[in-house]
Amino acid sequence: MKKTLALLALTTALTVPALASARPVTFTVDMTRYGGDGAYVALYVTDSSGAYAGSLWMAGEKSKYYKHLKGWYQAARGDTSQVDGITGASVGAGRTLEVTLDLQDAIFDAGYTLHVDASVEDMRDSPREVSIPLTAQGASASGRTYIDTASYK
Amino acid sequence: MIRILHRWPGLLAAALILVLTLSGAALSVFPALESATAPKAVSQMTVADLAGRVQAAHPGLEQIKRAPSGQIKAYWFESGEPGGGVIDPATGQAVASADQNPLRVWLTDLHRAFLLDDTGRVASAITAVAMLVLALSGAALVARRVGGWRRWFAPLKGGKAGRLHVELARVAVVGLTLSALTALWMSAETFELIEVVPADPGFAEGTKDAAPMPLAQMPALAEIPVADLRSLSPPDPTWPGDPVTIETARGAGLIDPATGEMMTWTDATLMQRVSETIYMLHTGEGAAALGLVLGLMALAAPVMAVTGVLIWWAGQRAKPRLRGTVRASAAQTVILVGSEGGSTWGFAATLGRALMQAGQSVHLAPMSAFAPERYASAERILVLAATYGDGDAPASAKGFLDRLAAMPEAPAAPLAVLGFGDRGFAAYCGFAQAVHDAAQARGWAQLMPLDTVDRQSPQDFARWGRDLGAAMGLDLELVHQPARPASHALTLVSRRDYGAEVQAPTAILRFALPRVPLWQRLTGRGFGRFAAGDLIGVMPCGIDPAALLLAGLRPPRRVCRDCSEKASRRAVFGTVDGACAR
Repeated sequence: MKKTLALLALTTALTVPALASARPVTFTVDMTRYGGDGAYVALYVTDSSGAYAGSLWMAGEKSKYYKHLKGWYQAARGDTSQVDGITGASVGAGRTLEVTLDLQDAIFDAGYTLHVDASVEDMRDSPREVSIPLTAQGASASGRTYIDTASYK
Repeated sequence: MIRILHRWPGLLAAALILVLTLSGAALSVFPALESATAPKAVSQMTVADLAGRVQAAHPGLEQIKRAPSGQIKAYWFESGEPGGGVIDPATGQAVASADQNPLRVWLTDLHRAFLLDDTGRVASAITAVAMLVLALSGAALVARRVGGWRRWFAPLKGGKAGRLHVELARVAVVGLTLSALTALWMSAETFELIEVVPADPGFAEGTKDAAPMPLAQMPALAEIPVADLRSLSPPDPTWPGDPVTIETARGAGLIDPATGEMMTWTDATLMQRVSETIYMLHTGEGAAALGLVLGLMALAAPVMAVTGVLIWWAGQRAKPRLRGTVRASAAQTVILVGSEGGSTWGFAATLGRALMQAGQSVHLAPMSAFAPERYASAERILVLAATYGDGDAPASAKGFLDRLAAMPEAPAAPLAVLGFGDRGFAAYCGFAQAVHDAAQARGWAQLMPLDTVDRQSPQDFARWGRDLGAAMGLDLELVHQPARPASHALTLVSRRDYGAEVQAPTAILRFALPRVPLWQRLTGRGFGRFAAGDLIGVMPCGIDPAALLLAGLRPPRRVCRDCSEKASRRAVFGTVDGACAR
């Protein structure tokens, strides 16, 4: 539990100047042409036991819609302060979300999984649309509904 | 003040209001279509029944949503493809695509954000404020115009644009006010000025190491009627212990996937219910008939935006451009105008021009600019006052009476008041009378007794001009020609005069029936439809139209003695060829 909290602090704080063992990682989420308004997209990490470890990015600024990102909402226990400072605009159909973060080396190849939730107004919710293990080499996976591909490196 | 509150938001926001109301009216059709076409839920059906049927048809079910219209959509993921559809609750089968109508998505974006995200949302909220200000100030203006709230639906007089504007406004103001108020609430919610905390069922993990129960067998779902359902999400099979999430009209809860029992439940908050009601009142989702009524009322707004701009423009044009006037302190004659629509300004300009031709120096100002201490050279003050509604001060006369009452003593220069009005109204020239009475009470010397001009009559005005000239020792001829009514040319066939010997000269004019264009015949306009007893106004050519308009336009209302058909009040104006030859 202690480790989880420490990691949470690292990932949500974005920058970790005190730690030398951090590196920039770029996350890319390509959206399909799903034919709707801008999508809310949450990027977050769980550990090997499936427990929430931290949030990486929240695309979508109105917190009242966050509950439609069901996977994130349950993992983060609906705590919107988890995404303070790492929130941006929602992602339109056919657009790409790209975020670069400084992440601690320790979270790679350690059983952590990146999850991406997506939801669009008046359309279906798509929790955990993409789940990819965090490895040092980077990885990529296809989405199911709103996400064409999600990757990081 | 109220007029300013009405005019400027109206002029500035007219284009935005046009977009919002047209898109709003178009959007109002969708909930009605949706509820008309949605397959009806079987009565007494529970969510367990519904979910069971849908899950049987689509084992990869991920979500069921029920719109306020009653339309049920389901989404699933099967053989690697996301799918969805509008569900017939009787069978659980999809009967139509779940895709949103792209036109509706686009219209919604246009309506709430002018396609410009948050910037547009702010603009749209500001437009709603303008709409509200217009509705309220407009209502006050209507009440003033017709002479009080109780006479709200009293018949109207005046120009076509003005009448149309007010006639629509009297009905549409209710819907427009409601739509503007609900829009503002929704904007405040969007910008989180009003915080609506929805029911939050909290977090719970279900039994992990047991096979999930089919939705149809879940006891918690068997207690919820379909009519209450908002959204249902079965557990994610890849996520052990993931609960069933359910939202209903009454609250939200989490259900254990293995036992089907409710694990947590939270009732909907009061704010959430208020917010949902307001959403329904604005969009008509869940109240399709109301939505259509609001949509129809919204359609009045573009017409009002256009007529409103036309009214303002006509008023601007009616304001005379009178050259050669002097400043207040240098004028021998000060003309003060109390006008609402601008027509009285036209008379004032004619008066000013005639006085200047007679060698007088003239200052022309609205009554609201009344400042007698500045009228150092004034020999007379002429007040031309229209009346607004039931004897109220017109727009350009605001504050006149208060200022008069507050003066230490009446001005030295004598006063003449000329009222403009319509005898059809109870308070004929009521405001001019009020000015006259107030002046009398203050002991203000009278140049001439109070006189009036009925329905912009050029004759009344010319007569008053001659009286004024006599009082000033001038030969004053006021020829003011208000806009001529539209006319048709008629051919005179014969004329018979009689009655001169008994001092009741009467002429019988027979006109040839003009050729009536097809569209007039179809629409019944002009000569397309008339009956015995209809009146015709005659505007002979070549003679001072002012003098003869009177005879032509104001015949007795009931001239029909011999005709069997009921006299209609319709009048057709015509010019008579050959009448000028006498």
